[in-house]
Amino acid sequence: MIGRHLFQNIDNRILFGITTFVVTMVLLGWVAINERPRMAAFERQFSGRSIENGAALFLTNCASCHGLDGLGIAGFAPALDNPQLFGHDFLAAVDEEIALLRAAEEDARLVVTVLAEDETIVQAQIASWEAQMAELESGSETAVQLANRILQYQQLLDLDDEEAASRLAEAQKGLGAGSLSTQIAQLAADVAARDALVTELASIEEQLAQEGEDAPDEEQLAVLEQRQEELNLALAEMPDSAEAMATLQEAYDRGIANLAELEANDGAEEEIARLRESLGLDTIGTAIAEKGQERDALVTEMTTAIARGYDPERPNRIDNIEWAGTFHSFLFSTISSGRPVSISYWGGNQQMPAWSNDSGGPLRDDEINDLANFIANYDRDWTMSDLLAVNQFALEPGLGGPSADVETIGRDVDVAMNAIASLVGDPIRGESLYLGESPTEALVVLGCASCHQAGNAPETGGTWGRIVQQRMADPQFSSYTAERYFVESVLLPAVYGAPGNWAVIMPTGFPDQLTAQDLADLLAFIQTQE
Amino acid sequence: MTLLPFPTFLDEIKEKGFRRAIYEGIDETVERISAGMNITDIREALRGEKPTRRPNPRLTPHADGFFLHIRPSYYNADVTGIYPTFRLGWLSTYFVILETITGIFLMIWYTPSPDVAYENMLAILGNVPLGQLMRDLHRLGAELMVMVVSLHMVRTWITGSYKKPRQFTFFTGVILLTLTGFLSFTGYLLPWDQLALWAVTIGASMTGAIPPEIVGSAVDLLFRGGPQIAENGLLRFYLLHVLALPALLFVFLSVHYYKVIIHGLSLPPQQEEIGEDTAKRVPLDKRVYFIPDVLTTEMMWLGLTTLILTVMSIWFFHAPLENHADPQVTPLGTTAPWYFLWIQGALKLGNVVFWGVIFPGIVLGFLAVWPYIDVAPSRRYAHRRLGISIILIITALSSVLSYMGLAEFGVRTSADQEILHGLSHPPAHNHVGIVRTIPFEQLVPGFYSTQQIEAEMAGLSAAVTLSEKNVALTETMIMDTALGDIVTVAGYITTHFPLEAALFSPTPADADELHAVLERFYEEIHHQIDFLDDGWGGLLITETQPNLRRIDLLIFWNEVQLNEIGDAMMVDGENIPIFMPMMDEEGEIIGEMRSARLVDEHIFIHRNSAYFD
Repeated sequence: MIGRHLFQNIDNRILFGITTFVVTMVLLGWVAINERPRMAAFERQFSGRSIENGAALFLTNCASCHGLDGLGIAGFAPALDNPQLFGHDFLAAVDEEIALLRAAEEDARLVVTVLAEDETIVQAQIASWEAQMAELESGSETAVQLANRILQYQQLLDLDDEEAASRLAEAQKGLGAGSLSTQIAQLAADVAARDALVTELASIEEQLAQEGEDAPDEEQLAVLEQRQEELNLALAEMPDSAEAMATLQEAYDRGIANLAELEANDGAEEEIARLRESLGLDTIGTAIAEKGQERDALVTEMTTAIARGYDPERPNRIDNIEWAGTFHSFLFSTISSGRPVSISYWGGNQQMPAWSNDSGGPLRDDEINDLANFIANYDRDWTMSDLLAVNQFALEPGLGGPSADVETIGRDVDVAMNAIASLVGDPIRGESLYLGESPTEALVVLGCASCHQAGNAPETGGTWGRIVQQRMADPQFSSYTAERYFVESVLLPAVYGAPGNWAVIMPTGFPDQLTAQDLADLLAFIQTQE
Repeated sequence: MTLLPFPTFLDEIKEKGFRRAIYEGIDETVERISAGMNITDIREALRGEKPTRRPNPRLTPHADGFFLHIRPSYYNADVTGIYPTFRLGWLSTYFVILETITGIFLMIWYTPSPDVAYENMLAILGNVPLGQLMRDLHRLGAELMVMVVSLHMVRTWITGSYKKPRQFTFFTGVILLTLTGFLSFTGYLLPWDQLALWAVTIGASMTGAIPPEIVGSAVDLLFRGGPQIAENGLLRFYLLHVLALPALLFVFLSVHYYKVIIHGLSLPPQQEEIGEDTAKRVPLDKRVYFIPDVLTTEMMWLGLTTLILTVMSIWFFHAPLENHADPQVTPLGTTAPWYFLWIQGALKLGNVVFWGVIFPGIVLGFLAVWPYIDVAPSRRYAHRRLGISIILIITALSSVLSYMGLAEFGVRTSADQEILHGLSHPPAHNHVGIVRTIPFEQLVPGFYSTQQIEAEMAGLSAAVTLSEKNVALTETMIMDTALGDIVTVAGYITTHFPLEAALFSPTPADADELHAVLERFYEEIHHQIDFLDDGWGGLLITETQPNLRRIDLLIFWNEVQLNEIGDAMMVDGENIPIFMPMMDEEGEIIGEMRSARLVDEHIFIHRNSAYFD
């Protein structure tokens, strides 16, 4: 036996045992060092398998509504192989260019206005902006921006002379005059310092060259030679600024000449035109117009997609529904809990059911995770053809269809009451609006029933009875009619909450989705619910 | 006078000098810890010298120390080598300790709940430093422990070491063997993957066969914790695995080892007079002392065994992890763990109650009581023909039964299903369907056919043959069982897959592994041509996502008549074809055609899933 011979000797046994122990420890260390790449490889591999599982689950559970290829089915379920889901903005690039051009234009305008000190232009600009603002809804983002800008320009107009002068100096500096003169002064100082050194060196050399009784003694000679060496060194280190100065001086002279010409010219109109040209204002304007056309062309290209529910101005699904979590959590929770309310805005179609075991569905959480991974794997560099291949885009509550050009009721309850006073409500159309079977005149499908008939909000049946008998008995509504209570509840739901613990808060978008007739019809329907 | 008002170590330093005081202090401490051996004694022992002190200090750790009090101070030289023990008992103990250590490590990262157990496994493999190694070691140790303990029993049986006075030692050994099996089995479920769930479901269902029925179903329910193994079942298996069974194991291990020492290790049979037991009377010249010889030998084996296991776990053995457990999906070819295969094999012989419960009970019971039956005094091999024959028969029988327990044996799946499953199944028991091993770059979307291989074997041009087949493809009629209708193959494919036209193409020139798989596919079908008359296979690769391919394996064939056990019926060496009526538009029967069939199995392959590593 090998063992007998080799391990008869106790020394061999100890040596062998220690060796195996050391080798094991080295191996463990080696494994530990390699853990990071190994773990990364494992994660990659298992995420791949998770996507494979997700694909199989998609085929058996999801493909029947969302399409075998994930491109959705028109009027039935939205696409998942869909740039909108991943928030790809096809207009982003061109929009960014336009924004940059506009910023440049804005800056150029400011320079023109300040330099020219032409109040009329500024006033005209302010007036045009005020006109624009009047058309905008107060408090909107653009309106706030415009207001800020108007304020800024008003301040410009109110500048006193001293401030105006300093602005002008700033502007001159911007043109290069100010900084040039500083540089020239600096260079001139350099040249002077150099000249001083050269002069001293010359005098030393002169002294050294002297002979006879004027000749320096040994001590002086040593001092002079040392100083000469120092000066030579200093001169070698110092740059010869004369040439640089000459160039700068030339630029400076040119700038001064320009400025003189500028100051001499009294004709503001002419000057502005010249400045417009020099600052490229007109070119910028043309570029903006071109980019605008490019943008319009892109939007035109998307016509088919827009008809299928795509909105190029709101290209991000997650932003549109104001999802606060991560993309993965959006996918996971949508699959897991479904969209019970979606029945209201998908017309008469089936709503997205809940798939999680927890919500009574057939899938486990790990399977939903696999599915979410599979869907997230659709993400790529999206192209226009991807967008056009989509059969159906996602819909949102209150955005069921294209908005028609009609006057909506607005947020003022008094106005609304007056508007519906002369109208006759049709309870049958009201019911169909309520149930989401037909759209409002603003072409929106309402989702009232999805909450009010599902236990998430006060029940539809008996609504009018409760209003008349209970709410009207409440002293805080002593000045209300039952109709006014209803109208206020629809338009301004936050004013008063019906008693009870409701899981869902009433949406606030109805003032923009209803016309007077819609509201009257809804009222007529509710009045039947005694 | 002392330095402090009470005697201290400083006084000793003052008295003996610093070096001597320190040395003597250390020496005394070492002697106290080692329960009797000072530094000089230990040094002498490790140098292999004889002890110089009297009485022999190497015996005191056995007499005074806790850890060595159960170890004998000397062994008979005839039992310390490889033969006759093969170190199997020592190895069994080694595995108990290894499993405890690695098991505690894994316990830190594990929660016994179906919601998170599988995630925990992924975390252990993907996020815990040394997690994979520990899991591999634990799993490898578990499998080897079952083997080692079984071999230990066989060895004891063959050398007749169970004979008087060691009958009870053997009895406890059989209990330990059973406990080892159950420990390994209960651990099987914990990863909560498909392998775990189904292997354990099969195993646990056997308890349901315990007669009478009321007892069986109650025991079954107790084990599973519900009609199906779920939260409660997993928790119960976990508690059995980490608490109840280890506790029992340690109790019986203590008894077993105590008995081993009390009776001494039995000598090789030929070295004793018949009927004598001289294990405890070791002549002086045969004595091998525990300190230092046995101790250093054991330490060496400890190092070597650990090294071998570490190397195996790093390079050769990885504990499998399949997909998440799914009670809805029964994988084809599920088996119990290998050490229970013999019971699964026995079950195929008939009655569940007898073969599933009574038979294993009889076998284990027989093993346990055999020492009390075989009371003949001789341990010589020549005198024990019956005993040795019985263990050989048991070994052979369990091998045969284990083979019968495999999925291949006695369970007939239709030929087409078997081929498709064999080619495409996900990783299980360290095997994977060959289609999954094709490198992703070679999965070029297209429709490939085994007819290409057929043409190549006949020396024909694949491209020409396939273009001819493309014409035939549009005309091939099949009975689509799903639609209950007759459709053309091309039509079927274009409606079921995102393909413009169902046309064959030859495999790309650089896709040699794709070609190899197609060849294998052809061979498999050809092998079953009795069942799959005129059969050919299609490999349809489509792109689901840029980094995800769907592969459909299709088999088309003309049906033939099978008998009731599933064999093809033959007349004069020819299959009996099945015809079906052909109808015109008005439903009039105008003739008949061969009944054609199509089956389809699909899998998805992601670029990163790395089945081909």
